[in-house]
Amino acid sequence: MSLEIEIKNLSKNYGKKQALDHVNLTISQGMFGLLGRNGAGKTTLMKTLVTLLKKQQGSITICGIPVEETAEIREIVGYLPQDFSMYPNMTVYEAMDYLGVLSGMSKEERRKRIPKLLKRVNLQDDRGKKVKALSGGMRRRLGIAQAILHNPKVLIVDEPTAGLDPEERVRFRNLLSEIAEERIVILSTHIVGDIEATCENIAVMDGGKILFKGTVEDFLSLAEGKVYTVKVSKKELPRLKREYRVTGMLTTGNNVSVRFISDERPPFAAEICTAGVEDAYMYLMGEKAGEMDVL
Amino acid sequence: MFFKLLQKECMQTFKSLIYWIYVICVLLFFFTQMGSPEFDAKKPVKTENGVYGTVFSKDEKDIQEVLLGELAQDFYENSWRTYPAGFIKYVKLDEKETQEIDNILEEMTGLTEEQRRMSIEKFEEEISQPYMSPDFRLPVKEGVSYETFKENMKKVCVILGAGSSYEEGKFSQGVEVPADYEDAVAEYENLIEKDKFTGGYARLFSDYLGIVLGIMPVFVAVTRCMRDRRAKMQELIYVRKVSSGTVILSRYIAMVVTMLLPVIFAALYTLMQCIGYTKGMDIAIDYLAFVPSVFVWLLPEIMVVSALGMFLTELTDTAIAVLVQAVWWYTGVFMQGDVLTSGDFGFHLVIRHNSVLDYQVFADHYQEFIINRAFYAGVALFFVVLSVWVYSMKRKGAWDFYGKILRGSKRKSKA
Repeated sequence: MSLEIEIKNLSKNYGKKQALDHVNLTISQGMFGLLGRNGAGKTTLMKTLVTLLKKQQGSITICGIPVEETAEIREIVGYLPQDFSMYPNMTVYEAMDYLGVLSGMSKEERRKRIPKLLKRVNLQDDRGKKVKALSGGMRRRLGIAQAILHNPKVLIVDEPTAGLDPEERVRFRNLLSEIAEERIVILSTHIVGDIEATCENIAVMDGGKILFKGTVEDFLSLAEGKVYTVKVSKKELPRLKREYRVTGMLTTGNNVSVRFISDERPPFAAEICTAGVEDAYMYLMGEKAGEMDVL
Repeated sequence: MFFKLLQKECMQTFKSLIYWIYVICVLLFFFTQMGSPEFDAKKPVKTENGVYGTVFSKDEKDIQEVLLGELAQDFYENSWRTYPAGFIKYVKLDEKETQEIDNILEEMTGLTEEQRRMSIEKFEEEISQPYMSPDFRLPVKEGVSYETFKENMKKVCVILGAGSSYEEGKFSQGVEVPADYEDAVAEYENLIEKDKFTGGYARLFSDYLGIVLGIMPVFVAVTRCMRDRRAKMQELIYVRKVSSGTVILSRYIAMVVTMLLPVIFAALYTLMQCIGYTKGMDIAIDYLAFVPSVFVWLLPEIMVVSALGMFLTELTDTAIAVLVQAVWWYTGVFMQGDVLTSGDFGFHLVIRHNSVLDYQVFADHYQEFIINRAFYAGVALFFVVLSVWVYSMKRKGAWDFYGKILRGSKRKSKA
């Protein structure tokens, strides 16, 4: 069974709104980042992959199994939704055990695997704690544990770091990277930093279309040689904002250090600098969103 | 997987506050309405002017006199009620229809409207306790046959529409008349010999419990079905390997089984009371009398109320089932007409038989009773199957009633 997801010509509408527009993607083992603004179609794509939504056109195969085979797909896919929780009165262990039963795991399997997973997500000391008493970060980690409880080949996580503090966010990213060593992990997010820190391959979505797909290096090369910094006075800032796509600003006294994107070298003393994922993303969204044919 | 899940669902129900509210309500209703039976069904003692309750009579004279009395009273009050499909309907007659009824009454009794009015007013003056008094009766005019009576009642039914008490199918089952000493002894002997004492109390038990079970299970069912959504756990469960049938069936069976427990407890309590009372008496009681009461009379009621609640909640993701059930229950309990011990089971959700006696009435309508309960058990299974279907559609994203209602606002956040 190949560890690969193949999406061909996938389309889906919500009434008149086209949520997915002829999406083509191939995703292999490792961390795969799906980047896009809110409303880009990421959640619809994720939900279609985990059989929570019906596709209207195109085909999806996950590890060689067509997505229409819901029972088989559910056996090999784990999912962490964007907005989730568990029965508040259940303890951490009870919640895992309940979901384990729903995944068809035997008592013996659950008894062995749940403590192991709780240890992995650093919740072993909280197994008796009620779900309602968990912090946001702990709940997210429990979410990951439940998603890989039945040892799926594919893990799909939707905006997992939203609302987490920086420390929890780093811990969460590391956890996902570890998990991705043995399976496909699709990380859907609008937070560029998450992708930059964890993913080798990415796709950028907007308006239901894939604007870019490839490696992070390829993505960075889109903006290479087009990112500059310049120190200007606060008075000059509005003009600069009007003429260029500003991706960062740092104010020091009366001056502002501005990071911006320009296709051509600007006619003032600006320093060229190395492009980051955020620069590439801003470049792509700004320059190419209207064309929709970057690929 | 199914039995493990069933066990977990039972545990979940036991941890639910609404379930314990259900238990308290059922037991509170039981103890306040029935509690420890007074065992006032004693062997009648013959006394002068003794009152021995009522019995159902199939005597043609009794039937005609009681029915004509009722018809004359309805005519006098100009108040016409029918019970099509078991629910009350107020019928308004026009002048021509009223005249037709007047003609029928005159033909059957030989009394004019004025004579009948005076007779009714005299009857009402004489009775001190309207609810304890015998029915008003009008004698049939000499020479009028029972066949003519039946023909005239058919005409009345055409005027009033379906569901009136003048339908042959109803009055041929007998009319309630004051019992004499011999009737009362026969009723008592039925209780001891045919009902083996506990049978009568089991029916009374089911009569009371049936009222509360016609509404309370819906709260447990709605809460259980909405818990996933409230806990934001729907999607975590939807993507699991388990089949929709297993999820819904385990939840349903767990609900029904746990909701049956306080009923079984109350039944055992009443049985113990009966055993205690008959100790030392020469009565061979039926220890299993409460088994059909719980599992044939009350179980289908719990099943159908829970199944409808579950189905409507899965379908709409709202608590609309509570409102639907409340209307059904209210109209079923309070607008059924006089069915307390009449054996009029029809398709009533809440079956009434508010007496430890009247064995024969129940026995005469036993087939109707079984059809009623089998019908509701079937309806319950039908709703369970529909719930499985809706649930599986929701898991595939093919059904989202709530999403459709709120599509406008949800669309903005849909990514």
